[in-house]
Amino acid sequence: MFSEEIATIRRLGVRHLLLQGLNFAMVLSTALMMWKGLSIVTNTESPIVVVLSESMEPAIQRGDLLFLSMPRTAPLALGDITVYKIPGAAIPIVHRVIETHDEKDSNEQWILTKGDNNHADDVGLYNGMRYLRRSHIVGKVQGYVPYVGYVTILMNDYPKLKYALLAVLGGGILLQRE
Amino acid sequence: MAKKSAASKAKAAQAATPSTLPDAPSPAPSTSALVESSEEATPPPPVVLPPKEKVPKINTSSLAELKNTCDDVVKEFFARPSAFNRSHVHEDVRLALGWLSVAIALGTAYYGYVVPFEESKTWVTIGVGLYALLNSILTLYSTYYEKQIIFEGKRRTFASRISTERLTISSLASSSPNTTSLTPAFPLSLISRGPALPSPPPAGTSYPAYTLTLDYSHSSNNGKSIIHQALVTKTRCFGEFFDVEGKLAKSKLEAELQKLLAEVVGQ
Repeated sequence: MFSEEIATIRRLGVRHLLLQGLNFAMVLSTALMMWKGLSIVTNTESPIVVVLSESMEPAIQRGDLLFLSMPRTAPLALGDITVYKIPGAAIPIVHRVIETHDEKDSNEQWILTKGDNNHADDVGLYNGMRYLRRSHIVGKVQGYVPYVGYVTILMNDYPKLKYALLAVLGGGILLQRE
Repeated sequence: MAKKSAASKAKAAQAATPSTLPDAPSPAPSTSALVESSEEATPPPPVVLPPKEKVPKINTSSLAELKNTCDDVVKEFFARPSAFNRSHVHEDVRLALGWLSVAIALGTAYYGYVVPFEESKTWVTIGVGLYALLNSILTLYSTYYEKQIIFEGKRRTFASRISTERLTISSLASSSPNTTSLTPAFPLSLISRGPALPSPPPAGTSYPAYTLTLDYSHSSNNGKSIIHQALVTKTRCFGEFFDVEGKLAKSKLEAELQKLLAEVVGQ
C-alpha cells in the first residue's frame, strides 16, 4: 500500500523529506516563539486570556478576550482590573482591585480584589490569605475584544473540535509547498 | 494443375479467386494450401502496452506550483549521473540553520514550561532572540546569496588535461510582466514590488512564463585558463509544457533542456 509513496520518497531523497519537514516545523516554531516573545514583552506568562465567569459583568462578559501586561515597577492602583492566580487553585481569576497597601521602600504591595458582580470581596477565594501579594498577580487588563473568546470556550467544552481544527490546519500546511 | 497454380496464387495474394470457391470441389492438397493461407491471413496478435504511468496533476493557476514542478524536472535532468554532480550547499545551509532554530525554539518552550515564569525570563529572552537572529540570517542568505539559483553542479573531465565544468541554473516564473515569483505576497505587495527582473522578457512572450538562466564555465588548470564560458537565458510559456488538467509533458520539457544544455556547452 505504501510502496508508491516509499518509491517517491526514495526517488526524491532524504534532503527533500527534511526540507518538507522543516517547512512544517518552522510554522510551529514561529508560532511558539511569537507567543513566548509576546509574553516576555508584556512581562506576563499568559498575555491573552479568555473570561469564563460572569463575576465582572457588566464591564467584562463571559467569552471576552483580555490583553494583559504586568507593569515592571509601577504599583497597581485602585480600580485596575487584574488577573491573579492563587497557589493551589486551578484557574486564574479576573477581578478589580479595591484596596492596595504599598510597602514604603520596595515594590511590594498588599492587594484586595472583588468582582464587580459579586456581593462580597475575594477573601474567601484567597485560600487562607487576607491579601494578595504582587507575585500572585499574573497581569493587569489593558484592553479586551468581546465575544472572540467563545471559540476557546467551545473547544474546551467539546475537545473533538480542538482535534478537528488541529487536523485541518496541520493537513493544510503539510500539503502546501512554498 | 490449373487449380494448383490458382491455389498457390491464392496463397501469395491471400484472396480466394471465384474459381476456387465451393462450387468446384477442390482436391485435398489445394484445400490444405487454402487453409494454410487463411491461417496466415489472421490478424496480428494485439499489442500489449505497459501500464500507464500516473502523471500527477497540479493546479495550473498557482505560479508557485508551476515553478516548483518545472524546477524539480530541471534539477532531476541536470543531476543525472551522466551529467553534472550536484552541489547541495544551499540546501544544507537552509536545513542546518532551519533545524537548529527549531531545536532552539523547542528547547526554549520546554524550559519556559517547566521553570516558573519569573525565573525563566532571562533564558527565554535569550532563546527568542537567538531564534529571531538565526531566522534573519537564513532569510538574508536565501535572498542575497542563493537568490533564484535552483541548481549548481560540477563535472570533471579527465581528457588530455583535467578540466572542470561548472553550471549554475536560476529560474524565475512570472505571471505578468510586472509580477514574478519574487513578488511578495499580498499585504507586502502593496508596499514593495519586489526585486527587479534581471532582464526584461522578450516581446511576444505569452504568460505565465518560465525563465531559465544557465551560467556555464569550462575551465582547466585550477580555474586559471578558461576554455569556454556562456550565459544563456530562455523564456517559455508554461502552457507549452502543461495541459489543461495540469499534467506535465516531461519529455517536452526535457527536450527543451537538452537543447539549452547543448547551446550553453557550445556544441
